[in-house]
Amino acid sequence: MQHPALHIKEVLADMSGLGGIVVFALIATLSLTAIGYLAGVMRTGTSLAAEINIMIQEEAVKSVGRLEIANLTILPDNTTIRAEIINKALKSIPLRNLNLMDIILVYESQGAIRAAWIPYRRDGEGLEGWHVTDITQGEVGEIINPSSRNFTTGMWDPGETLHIEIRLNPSHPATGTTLLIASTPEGAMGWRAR
Amino acid sequence: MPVGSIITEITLAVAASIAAAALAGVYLTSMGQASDLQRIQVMQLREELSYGCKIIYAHGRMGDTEVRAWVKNTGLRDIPQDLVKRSEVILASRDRIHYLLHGTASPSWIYILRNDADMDERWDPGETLEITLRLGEPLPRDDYILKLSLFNGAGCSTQLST
Repeated sequence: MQHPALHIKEVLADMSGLGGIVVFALIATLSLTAIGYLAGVMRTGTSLAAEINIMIQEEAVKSVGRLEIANLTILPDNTTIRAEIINKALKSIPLRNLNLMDIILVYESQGAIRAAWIPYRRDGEGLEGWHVTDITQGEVGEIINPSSRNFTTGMWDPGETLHIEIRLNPSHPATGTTLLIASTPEGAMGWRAR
Repeated sequence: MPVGSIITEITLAVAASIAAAALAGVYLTSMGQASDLQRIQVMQLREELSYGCKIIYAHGRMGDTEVRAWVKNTGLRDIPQDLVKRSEVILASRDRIHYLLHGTASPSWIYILRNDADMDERWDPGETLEITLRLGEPLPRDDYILKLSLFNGAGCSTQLST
């Protein structure tokens, strides 16, 4: 009869190749796991970076700057108001989009406070409205993207002054403190009171 | 080497390979799902950012039963009428909150599109809504916050005093 120790030795000798396979299997498992993890991290990171980049670009588009109302004058008839608005927004405004601007007046009228959104009237007609009388670059005429005579083409560029005239409904004249609020189509705002 | 041992080693090797592949597969699937989840969250955030508004001015005086506000679409997408009407308006002071839905009965809010440049009756970027809050009771003197919440949760707010 064979000694038990000799029998175990033979068995272990028979299994000498098994250790290598197990080690190989472990390394393969670890490698595949690591590759899978790295691939996942890279995929997630890349897609997130792309999405965030798009969001940043869209937010940058929405950055709008502001308007500065340099002058606000009420003429003696109390129904005509002139204002000079300087474009301190970040981009030019096509004159064909002036109808998307907001001109809001909050003013005292015969003892009451009235708030009115004034519609754009390119031709200056109608009961109540506002229209452009000139566009200048400081004290001189505009140089870049000049406007047409009737202000249907051209641009109101950053740094340029838009001269506007507001005509109020004669039944609601401005008889006291007046606040003008202006906004570009993108939401750049400015206001001035007198 | 005995045949039995060879078969055992082959079996173990195949089992180890299958286990490794299954584990890697589970990892890849999980990471893919996590990635998709994060992408969905970012897309939802982007969707909200695509819609925006700005209240240019809100006007209400003590004793008024109505408050008017002019709201510009500062987002990147136009909003059809049906979705504009699903917006909610909240006028809140320290003592009182008015929660208004679009409608005709008071309390409610209504709107008109002030400068529908392309006449498509959609609230396009750059266009302005004039909204009127019909409160059904006079406003006491106080400080208020007016908030317009769009259909998807994006919104804008302003302050006013009566």
